[in-house]
Amino acid sequence: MNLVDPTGGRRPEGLAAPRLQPGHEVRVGLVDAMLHKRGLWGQGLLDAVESAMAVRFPAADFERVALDPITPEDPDVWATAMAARYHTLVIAAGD
Amino acid sequence: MITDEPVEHCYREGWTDGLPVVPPTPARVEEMVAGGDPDAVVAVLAPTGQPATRWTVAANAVMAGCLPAYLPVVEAAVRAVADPAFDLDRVQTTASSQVPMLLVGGPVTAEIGMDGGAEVLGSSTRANATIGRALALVLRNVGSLDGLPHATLGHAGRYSYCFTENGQLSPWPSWHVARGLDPDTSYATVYPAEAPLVITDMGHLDPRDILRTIARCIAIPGTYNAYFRQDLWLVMSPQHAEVLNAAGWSRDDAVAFLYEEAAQPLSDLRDRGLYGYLDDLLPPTWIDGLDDDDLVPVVDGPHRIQIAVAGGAFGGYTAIVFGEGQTVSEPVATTTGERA
Repeated sequence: MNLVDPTGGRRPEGLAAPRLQPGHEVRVGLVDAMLHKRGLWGQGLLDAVESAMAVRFPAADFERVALDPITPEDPDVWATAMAARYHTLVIAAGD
Repeated sequence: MITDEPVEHCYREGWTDGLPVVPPTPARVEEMVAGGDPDAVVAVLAPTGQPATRWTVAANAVMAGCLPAYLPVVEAAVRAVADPAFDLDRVQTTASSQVPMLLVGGPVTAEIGMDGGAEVLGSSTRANATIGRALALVLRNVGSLDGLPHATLGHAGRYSYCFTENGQLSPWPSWHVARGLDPDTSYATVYPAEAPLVITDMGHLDPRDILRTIARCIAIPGTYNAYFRQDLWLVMSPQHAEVLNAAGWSRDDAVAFLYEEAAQPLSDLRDRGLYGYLDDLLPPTWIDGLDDDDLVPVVDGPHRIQIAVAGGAFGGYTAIVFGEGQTVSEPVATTTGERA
């Protein structure tokens, strides 16, 4: 079909992250980026994630990270900093 | 034959807004973009960071059903939403139902057949409908990570939300002229907008009566304006505007009155809407020290209230357009780069 691609054809392709192996000593960042901090829904979600991952990856080290979803910080700068600090990042985001 | 293979191809590729599109064949896109550099970047769009070139914008304009004469307006609108003041990153990803509302003003509106009369916020002329749709398609196809919906509810303005003022019946200067912009230049003005809430007030000849009705409908707790207190738009019918004008009221008089009247007691706001929810992230410092009976204006200053005059000749109606954010205007350039 000879049509012009209205997306510009340059959408970034998602890259699959390397899979964690059970014996890996990895640092996992658990990020609470929920809007409603006092609702503690984000922390609850991350508790469940940590519990499940701790069974599967016993050598993993977990650390909670606070992130305000409404922030002037450049998201690319933040992402670069997180990539330097953690092997894996789990983000709870939304309302 | 109901189906058309090029149209179906656009559906399969996820390029449409749900309605059929005009297939963007190379010949059609070339005709649309004629007279300029097709590779020139109109703007870089958030959140993808993708450049919207004239070629890509033209492809979306073709799909929307635009005529080539509309393209400079679409391009100005794309530049406007890409202005950092518009905060496109937020508008494109929020779960709220805000989409760019596009007001086109200046000489170009008559040249391309835009209409500010009856049904101005509904089904109007080809120019009104397709320019708004082209902007929406650009945001969907270039400025969206996946083209998927993100608003919890959304509204019909996602298809097209574009209008111009009724210059013949408005008693006041055009909005952009009142704003201090060049009257001989055309502008695309965008605002992150919810669906219009149409208010009626008929038979009253005192401006205060009409404006108090409108103000009461503005001052409600569950809007984004009630918390963020940024721009608020009114699309006022010519009849309402004329009642005000006949009594000697200017647009600024109306704005000043509405700012004072569109306020609600703190007791009506506390723990309603976004109060009690966003307080930790964005503390509502403007209510510090207030008592429950103190009135809290819906916006943080009269400069936030924008009034456009549009619609058919008869009817005492004003549409309130809530939103979250700022209004941005961009001049419309001709294909040779001159201001239209």
